[in-house]
Formats: sequence, C-alpha cells, structure tokens
Amino acid sequence: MSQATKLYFEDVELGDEIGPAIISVALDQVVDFCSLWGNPAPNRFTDQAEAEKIGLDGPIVPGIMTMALVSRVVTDWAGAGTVADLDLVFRGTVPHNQPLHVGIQVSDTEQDDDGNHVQCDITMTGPVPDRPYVIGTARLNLPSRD
Amino acid sequence: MTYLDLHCHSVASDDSRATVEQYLKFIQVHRKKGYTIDGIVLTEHRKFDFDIDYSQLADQYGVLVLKGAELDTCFGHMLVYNITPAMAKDVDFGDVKMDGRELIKAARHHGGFVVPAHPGRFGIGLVEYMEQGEVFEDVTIVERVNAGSKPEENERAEDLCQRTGYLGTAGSDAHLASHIARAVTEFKADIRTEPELVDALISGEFRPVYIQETAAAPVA
Repeated sequence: MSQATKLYFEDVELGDEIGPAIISVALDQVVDFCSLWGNPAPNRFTDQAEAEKIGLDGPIVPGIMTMALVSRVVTDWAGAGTVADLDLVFRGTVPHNQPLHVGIQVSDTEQDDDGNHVQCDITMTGPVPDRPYVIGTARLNLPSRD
Repeated sequence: MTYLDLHCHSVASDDSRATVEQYLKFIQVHRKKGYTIDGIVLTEHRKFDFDIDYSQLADQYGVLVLKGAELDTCFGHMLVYNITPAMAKDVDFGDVKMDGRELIKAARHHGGFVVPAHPGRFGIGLVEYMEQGEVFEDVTIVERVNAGSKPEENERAEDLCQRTGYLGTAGSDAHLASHIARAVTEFKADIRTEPELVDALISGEFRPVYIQETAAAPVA
C-alpha cells in the first residue's frame, strides 16, 4: 500500500524556514508517556519533589518524548516515513506547560544514487528568543517529482 | 573591509552538527539575501587540527576559512587565534581547568591572540569571575556579541566593554549550519590569513555587527 506524500525534493530549497510550530506538554501527557515507556510516575518527569531531589526546579519532559514530539513536527511538514535520522543535542531541560517553539530550517540538500536527501536544522526554544533547549538535525529522504 | 564570523564549530566539535561545507553552502543563502560574509574562523572545542586543509572548499564557495580554537579555562571559554605548533606544544588544549591568564600570555608569546568568549554568559563568563574580584590585566578584547547567547548576556558583555574600555568582537557560535554568521566582526583591514587576523585585532580597527548590518556593505 503506498502512502500519500506531502513533500517532494523539488519543493525544498536550501534556507527554507518552516514554523515555528508551537507545542506544549501537559503533565498528564508525560504521565501517559512514562507509563507506556515503563517508567511509571512518580519520577523526575512527573513529580515536583522527585525533580527537586536531583536538583531540578521542577519536572521536565523526558528526552525521548521530546524527540518524539520533534519528529512529529518534522513529519507533519515532510510526510510520514521521510525522517531517516534525528539527532538532537539537549542544551537545557524542557519544561512542562510552556509554549515550546520548534523551528525547522533546511540546511543542506543533496541528490545521489541513494536518493534525495534534505538536512534540516532543528531548534526548540521557549517563547522568548533565547538559547534553545534543544538543537539538532533531521535527515530526510524525499521522493522526486521526476 | 572584511566581515568574519570569529566563532563557529564544525562536526569536529562533539556538540556541533554542521560540516564545514554546510556552513559554506549556507553562507551562499546569506549572500543571496544581500548580506556580506567574507569568511569564518573555525573554533573547535578543546582541539586544533594542523593537518586539515579547507582551501579547496574555500575556493569552491568563495569563503575564507581560517582556524582557531575555543579552549576551556578556569575563567571560562577563550577563543584562540593564530595557533602555531610551538603554541600547541606549550598549551594542553584538553586541560579544561587551565589558567586563562597563562593561556593569554602563551598565545601572545607565540604570535597568537586570545579573546574571552561570551563574557556575559551567566555562570561561566568572564564577568562572573571579575565580579568575584579576579583581574585580567592582559585582556583587551572580548567577544561582545555572541549570537548564541541570551540578549541579556550580550548586554552584560556590552556593559563590560563600556566599563573597562575593552574592544568587542562578534561571532555566531554556530553549531548548526543555519546559524552561521548571525553575528560577524567587521574589520577595516583585508584579512586572508590567521596572522593577518591577529594584526587586525591588535590594530583595534573592528566592530561587532549582526548579519543584518552587513547588508549595505559593498560586496567584495
């Protein structure tokens, strides 16, 4: 069964900016995620006291949940199944219940025998322009119109 | 006039995700918008590679690529320019607790130059150490604009320059291709080599600018 594609390689240009997509993570979402992940609450991701025990100001969004959220932002734009690699660097903790701005910028495009590759730079910041919580790259494989 | 990004990291630094070629490609995006970027200085964390040669890439994209380093010291991060084999013998680049004052002296002794990076950054910038009473007689230039810093951290750096008379440079501190050259240093001199960069810093004829301020400059 073939899947509808939202984006073609020819649609993308070096320097294109997408977003920012604004997302927010509520406590109950983190609790659900931790439960599915096998790290049930209470823990540093869900509980104020547990977070403070390890020196955090409050509970934080788990790194792999952040990766999942970023991946969804990318696939919402590029289409399901396009992300070949997602490589994020955490420069700060990601807070609950805050607007998280996820920006995407096309930083490289390349065609070779293996396909049509697009690299996107990813940043996740708070609402005020600031040092990002997360930076990284996503490598996409896109179909060509040809 | 030369516009150089004096602070950026390629994948040779463990926390960067941009190759040198991706930086040079992205500079073409900036140029298409009318911005003037003449070159970059790679300042990898805690290392310097004498053997790696970017001249072919530099020629291909028409962007000057110079090499320096960003070293960790007991007084915060410091950008080092015109690194020579003799300097690398005297300085242990991997020593994250090295004495920043000694680094400044060693660099000068070997014809290099040290600029404290992001001095206004909370917790790790030079301002923090000065507030603790530390004195840095050999510092004359600091990185006044770091495009990776918070606005209030750059304001602290600007305050520092106004208070002390330090001159200020600018750099993107890019770790991603799209962040390259967001801030650059405008030099009066024509710079093509690391020793010429040091001469231009010593001359004091430069200023920090954001990329938007380069738009009206004549394109080389």
